[in-house]
Amino acid sequence: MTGPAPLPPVTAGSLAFRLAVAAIEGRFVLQTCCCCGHRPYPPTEICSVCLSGDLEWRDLEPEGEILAGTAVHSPIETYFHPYVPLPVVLVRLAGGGSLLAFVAPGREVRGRTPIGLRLSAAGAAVFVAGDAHGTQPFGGLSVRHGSDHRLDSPDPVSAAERLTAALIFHGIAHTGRHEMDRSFVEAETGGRTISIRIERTKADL
Amino acid sequence: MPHGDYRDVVLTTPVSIPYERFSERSAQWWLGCALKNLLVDAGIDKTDIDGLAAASFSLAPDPVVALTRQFGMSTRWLESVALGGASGIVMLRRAARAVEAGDARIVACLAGGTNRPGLFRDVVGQFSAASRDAVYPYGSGGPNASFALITDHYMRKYGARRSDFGKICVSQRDNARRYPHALMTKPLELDDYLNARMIAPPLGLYDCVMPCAGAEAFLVMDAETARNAGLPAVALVATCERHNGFPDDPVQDRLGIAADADAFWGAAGIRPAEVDFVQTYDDYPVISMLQFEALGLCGQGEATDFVRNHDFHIDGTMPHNTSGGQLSVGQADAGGGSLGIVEAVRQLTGRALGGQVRNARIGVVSGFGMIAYDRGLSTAAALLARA
Ligand SMILES: [Zn+2]
Repeated sequence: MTGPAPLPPVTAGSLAFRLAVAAIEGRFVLQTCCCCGHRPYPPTEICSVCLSGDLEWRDLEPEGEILAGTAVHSPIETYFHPYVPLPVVLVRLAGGGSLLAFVAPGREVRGRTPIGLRLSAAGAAVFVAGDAHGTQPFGGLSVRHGSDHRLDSPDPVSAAERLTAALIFHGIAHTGRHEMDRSFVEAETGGRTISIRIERTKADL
Repeated sequence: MPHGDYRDVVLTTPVSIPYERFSERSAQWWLGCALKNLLVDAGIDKTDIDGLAAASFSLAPDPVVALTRQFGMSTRWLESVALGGASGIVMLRRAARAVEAGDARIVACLAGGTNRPGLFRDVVGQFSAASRDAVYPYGSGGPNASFALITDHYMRKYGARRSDFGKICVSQRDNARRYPHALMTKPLELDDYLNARMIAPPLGLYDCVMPCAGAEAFLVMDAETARNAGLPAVALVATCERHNGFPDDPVQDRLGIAADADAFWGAAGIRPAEVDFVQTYDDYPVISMLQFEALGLCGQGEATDFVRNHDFHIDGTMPHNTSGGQLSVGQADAGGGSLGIVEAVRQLTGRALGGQVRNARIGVVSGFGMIAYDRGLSTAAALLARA
């Protein structure tokens, strides 16, 4: 294939962006309500139990149970077409709440499963069932783990890296919407600068 | 006739604008054609309509109120119902109370829209923040992936087989072959269903609706107004509506209608088994099965046996989606939420365009819509009777 592979054009919300940062850091986090302890997912700004607006990202046990499974044979986005079928499961977390996850290759699509949070090659935070800490590619998508990237870089983020980071974070292919500056990244990561080096693998293209 | 929850509210003038797979026309054009047909069929003037309700995903950037200017109407009542597959019944509920209260005399309910290549992708990609953030990154399977999980879970929990879903699809196709406006009219056998290519297992090609352009419409007024205008009418008996029902169910296997079913049938004064037909919102066959259960046609988890024990053809033991449903007629934007209502009005006035259910006196219609993350949020039902 010539030229860059198409990237999904959908821009993630700022809350999903926070999940992407956690994926880079190699953490498994979800929001927890500071008032009642409820763990809402998908990300939200209001607790669906007590309506508190005070939600915090907390690390949690990366384990759950698979309730249902499928495989996407006909993605809407052309980006995914080379990777079909993409195995997807619905996982019930040990502490309540359920989430969608990719399935690591060769893993069962039923029963108890470890679960990890990764950054997909498309730049989105994704959960992966069957593999809490691995870095292996699956379903044709290479998923990067925190250790793949340089954290705490002492150098200012270069323009090229910033553009790349914007692309990978927001998963958008066009250049009009990559206004993610360094301070934003720092704010999102508790003062740490994250720079992303993208190495497109064969699996990506 | 059942006593009911409404004072002489009726539906008249079922209108369907024949669907097209893709259209260069706008949603405004499709809804405008539907309005024009309402006027012609009812023999009334535009100025007689003082209430307008509309449901469409493809009007953007226009809001529904912009239709009043485009159609040259000056209404004293307006409702915009953005509830997809539940929008038809919810429009009907809103319109019925407006008529009872005297806020409007004749309400036109319009549903539908257009379909261009790429439009479906835009709608799915931005359908909700939850879907965008927590579903789309997983291969952008759209609603097919979400409903595949609901279907797989239902099969695991209740032992349904693909052939059970197939039976629903096959009988609807048979019904559609008698309906003049269906987009899919090729004969469908169970083997065709089972051997079709997979879209998102356990869902194959024939489990998934085909998005298209089109429109459905009907009028809501009181019985006397309909009588004076000489319009064949259908009585509104009972309705219910529930959003985010049973939110703690880990996977959606109960629809919100179930929470209100007792009051619904209680208001009507009849039992579910007494209906002459059922029209469900069939974006996927498992959702029709969940509607059978939630409506009380069978118990929770018993839809598999219900399907095996019934014949859903027009002349069967429980005629279901008698014009072919969306699975064979097509999913015309939000028009799918009114397909069953319009078909029910035709059946109950003895004016079916396709196969007529013999001596149909009372029918139930249900709706389901607005998939957000892992489940559809809105459900509704309406019981209609020959007036
Ligand atoms: Zn709370």
